[in-house]
Amino acid sequence: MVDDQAAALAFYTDILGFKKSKDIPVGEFRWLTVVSPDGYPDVELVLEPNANPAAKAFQEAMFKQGIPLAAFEVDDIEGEAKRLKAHDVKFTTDPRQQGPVKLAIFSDTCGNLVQLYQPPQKRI
Amino acid sequence: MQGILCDTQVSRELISRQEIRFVTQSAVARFHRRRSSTLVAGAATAIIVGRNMIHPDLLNRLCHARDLLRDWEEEPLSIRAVARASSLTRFHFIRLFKAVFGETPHQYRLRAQIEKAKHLLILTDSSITDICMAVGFSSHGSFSTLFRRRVGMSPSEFQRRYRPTSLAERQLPTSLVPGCLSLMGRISETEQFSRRQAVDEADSV
Repeated sequence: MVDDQAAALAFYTDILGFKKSKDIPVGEFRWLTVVSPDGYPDVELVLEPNANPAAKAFQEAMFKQGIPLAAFEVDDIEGEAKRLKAHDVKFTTDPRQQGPVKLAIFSDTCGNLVQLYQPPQKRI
Repeated sequence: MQGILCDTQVSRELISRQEIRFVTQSAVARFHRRRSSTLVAGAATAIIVGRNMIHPDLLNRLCHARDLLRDWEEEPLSIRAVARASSLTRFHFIRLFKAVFGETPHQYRLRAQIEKAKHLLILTDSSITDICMAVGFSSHGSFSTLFRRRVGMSPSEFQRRYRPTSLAERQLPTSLVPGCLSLMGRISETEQFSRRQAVDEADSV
């Protein structure tokens, strides 16, 4: 859920590196989805407006409690965190080991916290 | 020390001890300067790294600031006052707020005011002037101009268009509250409707 779809699209494509997939006007809003260029092309992330007061209340409560609403897998979490910080993205949790994975949490500038995680290296 | 002397090109041409001592001293001084400047650079990196980290406590303060900007009691608080309430300097607060929420406190407050105005226009019988005052604008003109720019129509046109849809239950009409559920709900409703029609037609045949 995002508070401004245009700003969200800019953040998710320009900074996070997603690619725009669908952009269908629905009244004053858009059905807006992005896909990861390295991931499954049929798994899409919807950037939907949070105009619903109930959705907004939920989103704000989760944000306040520091709970991320989405999690993305990355190969090099330290590198990604450094790259995002160069874009002035604010992290609430720096990359750190949490059980078998490494994770980091940042604010997506649209009212959500987003988590990055790096799974343990696969043994060949 | 030898390493420092080797740094300086003149070290091999030195003759008297005094000169050696002098060069040594200045080289040591230079060495210290260089070391302290690396220290300064190191500290600066630490600050930069720290600048992109937000402590949960600070996150809470920013959320509280956002609440203050949106839900004020008697009159809207100034950005300076909200920054003070979050124990941050004004400019640091503005920069941080933008990096976390994607817009400046001022932009956020304007958007919140427009949102509130939209709800009041739909859900209450107040006049546009009263609503304009209720959301914290001092002039009708600036309110209407901003509303038209953000929403794409004037407040009165907005009221004419959406008020009737709420009159029965005094609830926000679903067309204003998208989200995948209401969006999909509406799609399936029309689908259900056309399916029902198809069934009815099949029955009648």
